[in-house]
Amino acid sequence: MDIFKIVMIGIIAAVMAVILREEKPEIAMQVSLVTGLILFLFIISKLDSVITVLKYFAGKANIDILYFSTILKVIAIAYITEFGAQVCRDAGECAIASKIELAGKVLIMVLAIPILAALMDIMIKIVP
Amino acid sequence: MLDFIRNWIINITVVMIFIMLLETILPNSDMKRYVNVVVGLLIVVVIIQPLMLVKDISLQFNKNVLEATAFVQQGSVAAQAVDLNRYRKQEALQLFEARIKGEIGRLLEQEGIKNDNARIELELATDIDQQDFGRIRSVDIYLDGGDSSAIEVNKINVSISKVDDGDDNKSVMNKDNGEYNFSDNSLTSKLKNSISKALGVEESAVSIRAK
Repeated sequence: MDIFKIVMIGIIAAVMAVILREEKPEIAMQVSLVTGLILFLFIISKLDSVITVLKYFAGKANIDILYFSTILKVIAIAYITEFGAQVCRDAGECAIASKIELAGKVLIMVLAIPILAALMDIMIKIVP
Repeated sequence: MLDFIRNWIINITVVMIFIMLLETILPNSDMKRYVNVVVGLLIVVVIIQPLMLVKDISLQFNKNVLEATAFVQQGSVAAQAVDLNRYRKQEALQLFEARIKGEIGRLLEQEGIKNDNARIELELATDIDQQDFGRIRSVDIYLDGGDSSAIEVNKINVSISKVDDGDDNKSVMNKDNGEYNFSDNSLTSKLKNSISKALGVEESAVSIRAK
């Protein structure tokens, strides 16, 4: 099962990082970074199948592609931002991590702006 | 009418299910609040859809969304275009430099000088914003290398003439100061001439030095 693989990779990497942190902290940081990347790529391949199924149902339910793509973009930004921020935090760079999070938030807001603008316009038109 | 209400209810239900899934797979972080804002807007859009159809402004809504998206993306696209243009020009400059060096190498080979023994340095106008971008400012050719026999120069006559004041006016051209000999011989000027003609630069911009 995949979860065993993921957990094993995580535990081995954690043990290696703990051992290496005493001797070579920079290598320990690299170990955690590479492990994070491996796990992230592992999850991405699984997430891909979930998204394919969601797309199929969205097509079947006749959902507007605009809403669906926006939701997917939001999920992707949230995941990637979280990953980058966590890696930076592991490396002890909290300031950079918070900047990455800020960038993620701004990008999510940028996605929301067109919908917000159109919604405001419609509201004004609907209300007599 | 009934069909429309049916579709509307299906839309709302499916969007709600999507959002429920989204909530579960979203990472536990501060980001959730911001995602909820976007999701909330989408729910509002789905809910007010019948109102949009009543007033027939559904198309207007899509147009507004596309216009706003284009406006938001416009800035980044323009910046990317500038970067791409700069990169393209830099690549062109590198290619141009390599071609010129190849051409000079060919001219040197015509005169019997191996490319291994020649180091060609070009000074080009690299400022992309200037009008003379890419213009050849100077060409420096250094002829050296381990194989001294590769540099063939004309036969040098050593002439020592006695002058009245008793000093020897020596135009000494021996093997030890071959650099001086080379810079002065006819091959240099011939090379300069052919390079300046081939590249369309002034002869003064071309310098050939030999070690």
